[in-house]
Amino acid sequence: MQPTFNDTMTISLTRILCVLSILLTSALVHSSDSISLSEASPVYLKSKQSITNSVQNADIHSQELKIKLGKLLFEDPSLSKSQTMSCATCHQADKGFSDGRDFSLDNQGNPLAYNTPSIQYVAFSYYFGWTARYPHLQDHLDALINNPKLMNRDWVELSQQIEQDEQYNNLFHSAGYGEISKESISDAIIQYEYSLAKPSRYDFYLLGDTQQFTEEEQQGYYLFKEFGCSSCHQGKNLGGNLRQKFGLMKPYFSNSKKIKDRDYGYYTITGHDEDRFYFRVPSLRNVSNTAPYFHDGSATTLAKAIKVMFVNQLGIEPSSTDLTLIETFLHTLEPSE
Amino acid sequence: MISQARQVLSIVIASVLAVPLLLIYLNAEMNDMLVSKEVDTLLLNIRQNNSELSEYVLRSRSQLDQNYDNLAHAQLRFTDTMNHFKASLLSSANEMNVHAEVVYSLYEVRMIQIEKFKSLNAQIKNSLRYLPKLEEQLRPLLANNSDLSRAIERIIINSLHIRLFNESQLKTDTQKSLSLLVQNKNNLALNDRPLLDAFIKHTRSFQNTSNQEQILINEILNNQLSIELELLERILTNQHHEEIIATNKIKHYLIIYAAFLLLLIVLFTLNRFHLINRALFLKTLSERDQLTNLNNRRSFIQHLKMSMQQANQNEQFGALIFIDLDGFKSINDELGHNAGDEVLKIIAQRLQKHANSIQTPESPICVARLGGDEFVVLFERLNREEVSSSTISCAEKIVIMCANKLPEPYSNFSLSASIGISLFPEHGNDIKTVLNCADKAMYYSKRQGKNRFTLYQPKMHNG
Repeated sequence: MQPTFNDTMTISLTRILCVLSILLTSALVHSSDSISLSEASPVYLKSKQSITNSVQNADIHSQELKIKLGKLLFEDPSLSKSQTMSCATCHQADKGFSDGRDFSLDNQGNPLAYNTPSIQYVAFSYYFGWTARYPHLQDHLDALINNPKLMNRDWVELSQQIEQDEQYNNLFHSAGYGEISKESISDAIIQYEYSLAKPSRYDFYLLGDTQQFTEEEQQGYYLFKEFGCSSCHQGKNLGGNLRQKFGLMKPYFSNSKKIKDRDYGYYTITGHDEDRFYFRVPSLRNVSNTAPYFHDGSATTLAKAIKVMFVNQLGIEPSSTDLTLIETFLHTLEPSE
Repeated sequence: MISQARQVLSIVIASVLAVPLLLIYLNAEMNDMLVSKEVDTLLLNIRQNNSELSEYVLRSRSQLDQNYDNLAHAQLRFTDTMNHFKASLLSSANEMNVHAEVVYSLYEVRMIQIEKFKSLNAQIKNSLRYLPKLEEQLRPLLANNSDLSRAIERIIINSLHIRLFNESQLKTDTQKSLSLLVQNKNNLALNDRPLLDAFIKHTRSFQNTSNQEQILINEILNNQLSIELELLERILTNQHHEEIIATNKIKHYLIIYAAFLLLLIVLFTLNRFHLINRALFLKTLSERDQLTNLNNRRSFIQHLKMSMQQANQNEQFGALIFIDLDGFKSINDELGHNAGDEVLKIIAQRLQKHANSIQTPESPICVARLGGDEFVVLFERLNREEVSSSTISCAEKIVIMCANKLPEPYSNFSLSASIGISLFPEHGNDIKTVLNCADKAMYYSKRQGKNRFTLYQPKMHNG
């Protein structure tokens, strides 16, 4: 009997079966982790990449629409129950998205507890409010919308009201939001707030364009670092990423009888003694346009604010030239557009 | 054919075994396990974020990070993860709840520590910037007071060193220099005193914050939260194990694995069985003469070699009967090759039959066809006494057998055998010689008139 083609076939077939069953077993073992596998596999990533590429143009377009919608909502007084207040009432575009008052007025015309901070550069901040009690802009927005002294609104009620407006309906739809809800309204407003951050001459200077600064401004920047202002006012936003005690070297609130609740800072939130007088270090971006300064608006001009910082925070008696030079430098932080 | 049947059989076995397994596998629900994995992933994220925080704190402290943006970013991530954790774990009412609450409170403590660290670190950075600047202003005023200027210098250098090495010796040294400054400040001109006072004030504030930061760093690095997280993870793992055992899921897995193992074993055995059969088949194929099914030349040489070796070693004896058919050529010429082949088969059968009848286990006989009409009968082991007797009787028998009348179609032809016999080791010690001797003897038989056998004798060689 001679070896035939069929015999060799049988051998190879048995082998293939063996290999197949081994593969099948291992496949079964692995498929119990199927979710993590599919996420980690390069094929999946690749397809995801290509999808993001193809929708990128559409994304940019819908991003613009979202910002437009957010601006509309930001400036719409019908968001408040009294129909008299919008976000832009206190965050006015021509005043650095602050309002120039010591304390903004609530819907009854009474002053609020804190000075209204500028929101132009919130995109680079890590927590919000004078005491940094809100970790997200969403939380901040929630607090303002629900505050009976301000917008005095319930999200459900507000969404229903906006839903009845045909123009808003179209805008929400074309911006790519599924439905009008707390999430979509907040997202549009926050997208608008993120879009407010504009580069300043300082940024161009740091990128290497030394022509942006005059001699005085360069000296001011040098002093800003030399005296230690930049210990706290650091990072992308020149502040805004830590809390510091107000009155570090010399107490700012000298007369204990005059100390108000707001002056205790973060203590009013946590009740911990060590948080007394601790505030979020504010961002210095566009600082020259957002007078008055501090949580209570107690410094009416930038020069006064700088002096307070020198004396109370750094424990230094500044010369008048130092003050002017640093003030000159701070003007470079205005948005250049 | 057999192989085709086998092919079908193996496919049937494989599919019969595999199909129910797949069904079992599909029925075994894995969804619950994915849900519990979510909590584990969350815990893993928390641990990662937690250690990230320590890393960024150290980076900020060692000035690798010039600002707190990275640290603040890590804090934000940590807060988000913890809020998620709080929502998903604290909501479910089970014994995990207690641990989760502990974890959450430790998280709050940690965040307070890190906020505190940032505040202290900023103050220290400020002091380290401003103290040298003050020293610069003071130096000209203290030009004629070397003690004080040296003390100030030491304070500056020490404070930089303390940041790097944190040695208590440096601290006491700074303290000494500082008290020297305080004692001697009245030596200074009244106008210059405020500057020295500022220096003393800033040094004290630096010492203070530096000590506080040191304590805080130890607290941050000696991370209670990570210990608690480890504990929580261990509890979760135990819970998962218990869940798996309770749901009998492990049984499904065991069945699946066992059955697949069985399938593999069956396939392996089948394959092995088949291979052994093939190998045996190919072995016989290589040893047999295809026409007569006797041993072929190669196999015969092998046998001869073996038996000669044994003969040399054990003082045994062997014999070789060399057969050449007479008159075979005329059959081939007149009736064709097919007929010749048939005749060879008949002769081979007769030889084999005879060999089988006289061989014993002690003295095996190997019958082979060397090619054409040449056959060989090899006595592999014989005693000294029986060497010539049994060989000669066998040769006699073969002569008679070959001369026997052939069956019908060939009965007209007369066939006979000329045989030569050689013995070993008597006639030679190697294959070539022994074969040659038998050949010589065979030719002698032919010359003597065929149909006979001849035992080799040395004179044949010479003649």
